[in-house]
Order: sequence, then structure tokens, then C-alpha cells
Amino acid sequence: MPDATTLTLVAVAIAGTYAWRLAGVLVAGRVEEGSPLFAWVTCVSFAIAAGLMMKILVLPTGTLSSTSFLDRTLAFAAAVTVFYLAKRRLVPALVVGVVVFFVLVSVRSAT
Amino acid sequence: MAHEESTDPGDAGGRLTFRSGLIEGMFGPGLGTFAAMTGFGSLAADAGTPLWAAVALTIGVWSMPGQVAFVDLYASGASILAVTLIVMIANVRMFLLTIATIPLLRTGPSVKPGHFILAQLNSVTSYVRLVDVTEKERDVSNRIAFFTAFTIGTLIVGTIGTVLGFTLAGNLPAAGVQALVFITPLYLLLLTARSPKAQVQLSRSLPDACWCQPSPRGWAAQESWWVA
Repeated sequence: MPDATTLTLVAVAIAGTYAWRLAGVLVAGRVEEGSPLFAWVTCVSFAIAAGLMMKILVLPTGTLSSTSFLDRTLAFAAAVTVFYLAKRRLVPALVVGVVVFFVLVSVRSAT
Repeated sequence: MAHEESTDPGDAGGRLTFRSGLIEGMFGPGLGTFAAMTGFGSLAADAGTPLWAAVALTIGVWSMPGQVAFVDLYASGASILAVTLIVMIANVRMFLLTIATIPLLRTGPSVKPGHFILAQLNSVTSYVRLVDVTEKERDVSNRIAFFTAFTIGTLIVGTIGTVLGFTLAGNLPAAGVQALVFITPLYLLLLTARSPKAQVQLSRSLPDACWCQPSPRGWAAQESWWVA
């Protein structure tokens, strides 16, 4: 049986996050796809997504923080190289990037 | 820039279906989500958060910064007010993300009740993928089917990852988990690099921002500014 305090905390965390989503839907009802406002929001959203992902690569917290910056950079560079060599196809680039990263991390932890 | 033909999942034949979205969501970026949520599950176990709460956070909050903030606050015995405020601040990006997502998933000017459910399913991964498929798919109902399935797919594997991470906390091989966690940022950055829409909009906005005045194209766009 969940205790009341934890249940309340989880409920307010869910409600607090959904409040942003709810507000987003209400505002989105007044924004047309193709309008300058929509273009601006899209740019900011892409910037948030790309910035968040670059932060994970450059300044990670959690499990990636114990890996080398050089390893992450080399794996990322390998993926980007394959991405453009393979005419911007995702899967080969993703596979190469992850495999290179795994090999570098394994080699470094073994030495 | 010409948009290249792709053989990536979800692009096959240009047909977006519920099935293709579910498969791609579970086995494409879903692997990255699985890994990230495995890490979250382990973190929750370390912080003393109950398993049911960790799973409820993954399904209900569905946004990693807020989930991690919650676990941190829970361990320190923070008040309800502190949890509410800090989780909300951590997840503020969901506001803009939702504004950017919903117009791609509606047929008319108004929002429908279903959009409130789609907003709950939305995530950074789903949004970036949606923008990518929007370039090729003009049929909104197909987009909705794909988006819904894609997000449900990532949510399923994310929930499994949370349970697994919680159960195996401290016993997972580090290099394997790190490689899996590496998938999500790599996938999203490459997806962003592939999206002509992002490139066009950024290239259009940047000169305006630099010169602090709208370009002729900017003025033309303003004429079509539509606010219901």
C-alpha cells in the first residue's frame, strides 16, 4: 500500500508537469502551422532539443559522466562522418557511433 | 538542399502507420529511452524511491529532468511545495514543445480533446521525429497514428527500463549501459541535422535576429500571421 506522502508527491509532480502540457495545448490552439510565431516556437524547441542533447554529450550527468570527453567526441565525430558519407541515413551513423563509443569505453576501462 | 531517400525505419515507402511507429518507437530511439530509463530506475532505487513511484513518474511525468529532480528531492525529504515548484521548473520546456507539436497534429484551427492526450505522450524524441516525418507526410491522420504509436512504443520500453534499472540497481555492466545511454543524444542530433524544416527555419530566422529587423520574407510571412 503506497504511503500518503509519497502518493501526494508523485501526484503533484505529475500534475505540475501536465500543467505545462495543458497550457501548451491551449496556446497551440491559437497558433497556425506556418505562422511566424509557430516558426519561432519550432526554432526554440529545436534549440532546446539540440542544446539538451549537446549538453549530454559535452557535460553529461549520470552514467555518461564517468566516460571520457575524448571518447564521446570521437564517437560523435565518427557518427557524423558516416551520416554524411551515407547520404544522411540515420541507422548506419547511429550504429557506427554507438559501436565506436562502446569500443573506446571498453578499451579505456580495461587499461 | 535535396531531401535524400532514406531506408530508415518509419520511412519505408513513405507510409506512416501505427505499426511502423510502434516498431520504430520500441526498437529505434526506444533503445536509448530504455537505457536512459534504466539509469533512472537505478537512481530511484538508490534514492529510496519505491518502485511503484518510479514507474508512475516515468508514465505520468514522462520527462527525464523532472523525474530526476523528483528523485533527488524525495531522498532529501523536500516539502510538497518544493517538489511542485522544482519539478515544474525542470519541465518548463514541455510548454514550448507542446506549442510546437500540436499544430502538426490537427486538421482544423481548434484543438480536440484527443490533443490533450497527445500532449501527455509528447517528448523531445517524439517531437523531433514528428517534425522529420511531417516533411513527407501531409495527411494529419497518418501523422497522428505514427506519432501516437511511436510515443507509446518509447513509453513501453521506457517503463520496462525503469523496472529493470530499479531491480538490477548497481549490477548492470557499465560500458553497455553507457553505450545505450549514448544512443538518445546521438540519434536526436542526427535527426535534427537531417530535418530540412529546422535548417530552413533557422536560416530564415538567424539573419532577422542578427539585423534586428524583419527581412522582406519576414514581412510577407507576417501577413499570414493567424491567431484565432
